[in-house]
Amino acid sequence: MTIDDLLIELDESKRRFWFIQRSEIERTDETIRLRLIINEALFIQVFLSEATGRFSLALIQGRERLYGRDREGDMWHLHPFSASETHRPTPEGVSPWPLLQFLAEVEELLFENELIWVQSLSFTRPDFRQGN
Amino acid sequence: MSMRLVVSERTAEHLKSLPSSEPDVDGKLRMLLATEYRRRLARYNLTDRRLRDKYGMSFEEFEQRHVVQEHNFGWDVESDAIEWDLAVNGIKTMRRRLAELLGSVSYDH
Repeated sequence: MTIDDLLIELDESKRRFWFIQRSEIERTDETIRLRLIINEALFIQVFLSEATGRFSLALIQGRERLYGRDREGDMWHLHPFSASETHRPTPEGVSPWPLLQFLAEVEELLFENELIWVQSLSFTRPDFRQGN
Repeated sequence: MSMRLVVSERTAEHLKSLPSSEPDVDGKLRMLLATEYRRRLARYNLTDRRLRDKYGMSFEEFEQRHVVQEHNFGWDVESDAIEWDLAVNGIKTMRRRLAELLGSVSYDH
């Protein structure tokens, strides 16, 4: 995986995943950090360093990581949702399209845990108790 | 070698009115780019210094000693590792770009 490969995946991701509102890119010669903004509170951070081999994908709320997959050295591990401070080695690694894989996983988490609906419904849900 | 860039009239007016010792648009754009590279270089240097102080070691030592692993891959340390990795490579990148843009000058701060 190179920075250029990741940028190609980013283009495809923006087309495929409805929940990405916008993206921010910070790039140096051998590193790149992407932030895919879902809303004011939630974003996905992707970091790749061609110099050190570090590759990190994280779903972040505020300053807290909710879910993540990382490569440190040559070893991949997973930070599961609801227990993201723990880590589990994943010797199978990730697919050849790691960003698309991660975003598909995030999409499921967003629905299963109502991470998006809770926030958006709080503005639009009618209050039936008052006969509205 | 040169190439044609198209900018809006409004942008061209702003470029003209920019107080600068550079007489032409090319020089003014180079000056703006250099300012942006210096701003990013300062930010990366600050991050490098802050994390050197926090961990009492350089980024190279941090990597060799597998500090992230030592801290059980906690987010605090992993996010520091990401910031530091980006900053260290950013320092090299901004120095190279400044040297390319302005000629070989030392940008150690």
